[in-house]
Amino acid sequence: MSGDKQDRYRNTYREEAAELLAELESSLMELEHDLQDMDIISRVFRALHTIKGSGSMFGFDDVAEFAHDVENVFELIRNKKIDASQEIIDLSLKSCDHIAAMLTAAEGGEPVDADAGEAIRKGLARFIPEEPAIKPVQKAQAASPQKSQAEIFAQDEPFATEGITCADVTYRITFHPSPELFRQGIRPLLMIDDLKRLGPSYVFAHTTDIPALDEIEPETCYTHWDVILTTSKGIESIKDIFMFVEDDSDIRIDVLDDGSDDMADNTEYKKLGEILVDRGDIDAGEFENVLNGRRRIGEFLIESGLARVRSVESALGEQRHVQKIRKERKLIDQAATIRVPSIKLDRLVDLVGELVTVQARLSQISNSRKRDTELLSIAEEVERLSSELHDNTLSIRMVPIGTTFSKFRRLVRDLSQDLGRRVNLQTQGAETELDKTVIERLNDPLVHLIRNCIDHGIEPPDVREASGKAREGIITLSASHAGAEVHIKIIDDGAGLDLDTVRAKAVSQGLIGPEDETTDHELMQLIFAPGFSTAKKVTDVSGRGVGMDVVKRSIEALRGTVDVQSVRGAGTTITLKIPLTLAIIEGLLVKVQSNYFILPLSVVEECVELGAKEIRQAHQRHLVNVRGDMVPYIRLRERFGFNGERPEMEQVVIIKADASRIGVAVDHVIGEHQTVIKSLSRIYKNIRGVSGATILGDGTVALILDTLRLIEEAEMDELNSLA
Amino acid sequence: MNFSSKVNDGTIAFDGGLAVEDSAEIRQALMEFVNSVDAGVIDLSKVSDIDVASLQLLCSAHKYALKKGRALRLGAMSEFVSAAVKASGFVHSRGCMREMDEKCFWLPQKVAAAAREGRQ
Repeated sequence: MSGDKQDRYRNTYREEAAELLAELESSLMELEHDLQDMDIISRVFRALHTIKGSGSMFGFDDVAEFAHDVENVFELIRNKKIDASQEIIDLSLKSCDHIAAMLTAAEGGEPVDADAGEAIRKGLARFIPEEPAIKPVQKAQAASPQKSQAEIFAQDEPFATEGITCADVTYRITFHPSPELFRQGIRPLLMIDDLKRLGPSYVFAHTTDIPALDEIEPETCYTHWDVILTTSKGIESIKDIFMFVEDDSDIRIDVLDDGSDDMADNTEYKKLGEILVDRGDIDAGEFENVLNGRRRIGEFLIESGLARVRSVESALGEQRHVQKIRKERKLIDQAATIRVPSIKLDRLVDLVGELVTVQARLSQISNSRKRDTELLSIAEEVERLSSELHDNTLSIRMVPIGTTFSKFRRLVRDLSQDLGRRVNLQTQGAETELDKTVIERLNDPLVHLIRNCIDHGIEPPDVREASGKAREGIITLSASHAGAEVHIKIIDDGAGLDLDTVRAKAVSQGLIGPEDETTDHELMQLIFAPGFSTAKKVTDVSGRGVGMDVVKRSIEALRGTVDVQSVRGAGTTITLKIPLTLAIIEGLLVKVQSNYFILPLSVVEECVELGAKEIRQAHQRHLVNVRGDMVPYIRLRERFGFNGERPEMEQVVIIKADASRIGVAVDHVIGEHQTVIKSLSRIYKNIRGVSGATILGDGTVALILDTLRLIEEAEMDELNSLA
Repeated sequence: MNFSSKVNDGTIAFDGGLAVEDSAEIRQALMEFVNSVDAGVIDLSKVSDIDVASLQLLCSAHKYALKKGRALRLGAMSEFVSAAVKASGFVHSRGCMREMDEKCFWLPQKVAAAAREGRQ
């Protein structure tokens, strides 16, 4: 394999290993609650086994060796030689972390803490009883593939049938590998060797399909194998060997002789014809023909009056039908998922975005040429298709939030232990899907919010009991769709916010004046102010006061909002509202002079007119009367320094954010516009008030306004003008 | 490349490890060799390592030779190769194409003979 292919397979292994580690972690935590559950123990073992096997295959020998040590312990547990215990689980969880560290180090990240690894190894080794019998087999499996295969075979023993007991079962294993087997880095000789270690065997390679030199593709596998194996180790040990090829290969394992008494009595085995029929190498019906020189059995039965025509037909029909169903089911199962690098998806989303832009242009032109009905209908069709393509593409990027939620279980477990709390994490709406990038960017804020919950929200068990609550606190993570948004809530049944302390802190930090009247809700939102923290102690976990501010900014960067509700003594609910997609928003297109701007439709409440009369009524101040409320507004032409003449009648678009409303005065409101967001280049990125740009149907650029910024400025202006 | 090959007097001798990474080159070497002789011998006595892809190529070379109406046989085999051939299940008591039966590389008596040669 070339260097590039190697890298690609190594990257795939890293991704798969990461997934396996996540599964492993969650299985281990499940096991904590029921140390005897054999299903979970098998799951853990298989995950470790896969990490080890694939690791050694792709050159991650250190990972393979480490996983091997943990696997050893779980093999003992699986075989009931030792029991699972809390300590083993703790060590195993630490091993997961260590393996993750090794994978990162292999990518060029921080080098791994060898002492930590050694400590874990030693800890695990204590559980392994002094039985040398296990070691040699395991060692061979963990051997690096660099060892020449020929060396392994040089130690091969001749076929030995001594010592076969009744517990031994004989299997027929047909292994039809995928033609890509070699390209996937799999060495079939190693697998056959593994099979042979299970017991006496007969191996037959089918070479009929190998083409001549002028036709052969040298890296393609044309060989398939039949292996007859007698072993007492059980069918699972056979399946384990084929674990990482079973998806792409055709593997059949049939029991030929199960060692039971009635089979042993008859030393004669099946006739040749039966074997062939069994293997599907010949057609049963045709075999009958050959044997009997007669017509097919169905006809024979009908002719001899032993069966009616309809019954035979029906039976044949049933046979065909069931076979067809089984075949189809197999196809469906195989078509499950496909891995795609994110960067390809991003490119696809970009292209779809540009398509939407051009399609808008097409629609615009076709609308202006109304008499050309053919063009009109084509434009409509294109609009329909690109809209569906757009929805489809964005949905590909949608990932259920459940995986993020699961990651937090480990966090909650570790934190509760560290802080001496008992916490039960519940989740709702794990199947709710969000854009992949959004989920990634939500990770840190959610981590911080959960930490806060456990540190400040949930009380220690004694305190909870004293106030009549259950000793175990509950944190609920919930996610749900609401229109074009996703709502994520972090709900705890802890102590809730102490509004008096919040108020005091806010006053001392100058966020509000001592005499200011504030609603409880307004007070609660203050916890998101920079530097705000009412924690009396700065713990390792939280209390530095940087967290909540950063959380708010991260959510706002996603064009979302964060809100907190709390009841003293009962608990706190933090609600995040995030738009479903970052790339395209519904916007309101407005015009000032000859310049176009977009306001996100999600913040637009309404539009009011601003004529000479309204200006007079406001005594020249920038206020407009909206059904009795005086709403401050900013004029875009003033804000951006346009020098032209103001039209007589302007429009004020009322936008809202949190509890504030402001108006944005423009010359014209054009209408709704589906906006593909394009980011501004580096040079323009720091312009205040503009968060991006889009290209209109006719090619003009419209700037997307950063409404939060505008609101801040408007409020500043208003304060200044009062002073 | 992990291997080298030398053609001398109707025999091609491979040296080193024959693995899938070099399969394109091995194929090339075999093809040129078969095209250049009427009756050829493949010497594997200095081969230290061999995998299924290379065993396939040997099979393939034989089929190619027959296609071209030439003779090809396995000469000496190193211990490693003979062990690999046996372990991989490539030893057949009959050839895979009826016409080729007695000529098949992998007949046990031929493999045993080649192994004996290799030991000398």
